[in-house]
Amino acid sequence: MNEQDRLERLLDAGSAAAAPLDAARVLASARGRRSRRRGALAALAAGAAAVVVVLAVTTGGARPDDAAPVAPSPTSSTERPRPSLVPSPAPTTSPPADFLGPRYVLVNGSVCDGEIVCFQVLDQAAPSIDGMFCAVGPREVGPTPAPTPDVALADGTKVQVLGPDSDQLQGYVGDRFFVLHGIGAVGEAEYLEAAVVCAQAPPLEQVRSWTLVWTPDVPYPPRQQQADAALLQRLVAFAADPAVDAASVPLSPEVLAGSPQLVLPVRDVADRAGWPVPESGSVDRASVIELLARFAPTADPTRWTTSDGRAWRMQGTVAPDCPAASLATQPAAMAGFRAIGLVSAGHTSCLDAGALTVYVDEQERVAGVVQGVWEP
Amino acid sequence: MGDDEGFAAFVAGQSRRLVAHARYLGVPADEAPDLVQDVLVRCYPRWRRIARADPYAYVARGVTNAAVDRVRRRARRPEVVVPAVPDRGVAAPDTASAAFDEALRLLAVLPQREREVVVLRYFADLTEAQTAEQLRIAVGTVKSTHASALARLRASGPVEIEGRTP
Repeated sequence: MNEQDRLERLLDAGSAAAAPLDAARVLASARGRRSRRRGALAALAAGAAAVVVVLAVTTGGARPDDAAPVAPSPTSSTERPRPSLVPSPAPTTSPPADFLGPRYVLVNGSVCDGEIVCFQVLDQAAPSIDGMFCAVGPREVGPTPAPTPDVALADGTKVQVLGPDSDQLQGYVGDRFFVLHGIGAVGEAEYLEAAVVCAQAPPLEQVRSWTLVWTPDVPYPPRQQQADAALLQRLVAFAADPAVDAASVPLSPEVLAGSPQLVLPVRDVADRAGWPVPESGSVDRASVIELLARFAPTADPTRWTTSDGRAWRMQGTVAPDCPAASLATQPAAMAGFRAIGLVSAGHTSCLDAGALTVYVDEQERVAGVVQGVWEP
Repeated sequence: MGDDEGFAAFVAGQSRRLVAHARYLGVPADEAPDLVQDVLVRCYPRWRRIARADPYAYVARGVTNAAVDRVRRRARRPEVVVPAVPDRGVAAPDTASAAFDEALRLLAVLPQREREVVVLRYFADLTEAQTAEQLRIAVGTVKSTHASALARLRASGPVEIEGRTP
C-alpha cells in the first residue's frame, strides 16, 4: 500500500469517529426556516414594509436628501441593478451637525460572485467617488427584521442589532454613515452576514451608537454577538483616545502576536506630520479612518481620482493570503506615488475584496486608492 | 420515500462523514456540526431536485465552500476571536478516535490550501479537475499544491492507520 492509499484509508477510517447529526433536529430546523421564509415572502407580497430602526444617535444635521447626487461608478449597482425586496430604511433621526464633515468613509467590503456587496469609500466632496458602493449580492429573499436583543458595550454605548443587509447599508451610507467592520458573505456567498455601521464624525469618539446589521436568515448566535461587541469595544477604545496605543488595547496575547493590524500606535495617527507609514503590512481600521479623515480638510477632491478618471481601481493579485498584496503590485496609474497599505476584511469563498492601498503624493495628498482583489 | 424521509435518512446516514469533512478542512470540533447542519438546512428547500442526482456530492460541495470560507475568514480576521467567550465548545467526543486524531494531526501540518487539496482529493475523492473547480484554482495549481502537500506529509513522518504504522 503506498502512502496515498494509506492517506485515503486513514481519512476514511477517521471519519467514522465523527459525531453524526440528529436527523430529526436538522429536519425540524429546515422546516422552521422554510416556514419563516414563506412568511417573509407573504409579508412582502402583502406590501408590508420592513420596519427598521436606523440609529440611536442624536437629532439634527443633514437629511439624506442633502447628499450630493450619486454618480455611477464602474462597479456600482447602477450598471447592473437588482430588484430590491426591502425598502431602504428611513432614518428616524439624523446625526448632529458636528458629526458631519466633508468626507465619509466606508471601510471594508465583500465581494459576492464577482460583485461588490459593500464598497469602501463614500466621499461627499468627490462626486467621482460618491455612491461607489453596494451592488447587492445574490440573495434568495428579502429579510424581515426580527427582534434581537441589543448589545451594549461596557461603557454603555448601545449597539443595535438590526436587519437586513446591504440594501440597508446603502440606506445608511446615503445618510452619511459608514461601515467600520464587515464580516462579509458566508458559505455560498448569498448574503452579508454582519457589519458594524456607525455615524462617522471626526473625531470618532463622538460616535454615540453602533449598529450591527445582519441578515435575519443568518444565525447570529450570542457567541458571535459577543465577539462583535468585544471588537467594537476595542475599536472604540482604540479610536477614541489618542493616548491609547495598540499595546494597551485589551486584546488577547495570541491576537497581539498574530495580527498585523496593530503595528501602528494610535497616538501617532493624531500627529498629522508624523503618521508612520509601515514598510510593509497593514494598519488597523481605526487608523484607516483617521488617515482618510485627516486628508479631508486639505486634499483636493479631484486628487481622489486616478489618472484614468476613476477614484478606485480593482486590481487582482497573486498573493491570496497577503494583506499587503496591493503594495507589491502598484498599478501604472499610481506610479510615482507612495503606497500606504490599509486593511480590509471583505472576503467570500469566491473572491476576496482584499487590501486597500492609498497612494499619496509628496504632500501626502491622496492620489488614489487601490483595492486588491484576491482570487484564491 | 417522501422528501422529508429522504432528507432525514440522508442526514442520518451521511452527516457523520460530512462533519468529518468539515473537520478535515480545519473547522473546529465545536463548530463543524453547526456548519454541516447549516448547509443541510439550506439544501432542504431544494432537496427534491438535489436528491435526483448525487446528493452527497452536492452537500459535500456546500460543506467545502462553507468550511473553506470559515477557516480563511478566521485566519484573516484574528481580531474577531475574543479571549473570553463563555460558550466556546470543549473538546468534542469525536476526537476520541485514534484514527481521527491521527488524520487531524497529519492534516494540521499542512497549510490551509494544501489541506484543502488533500481532503478533496483523498477524502472527497475528487479528481484534479474537480478539485480545481471546487477551489477555484487552476489544475496546475492543484497538482503543484498536491505535490507540495505530499512532500510535507512525508517529512512529518509515516502515515499511520488506526494507530499503527503500516
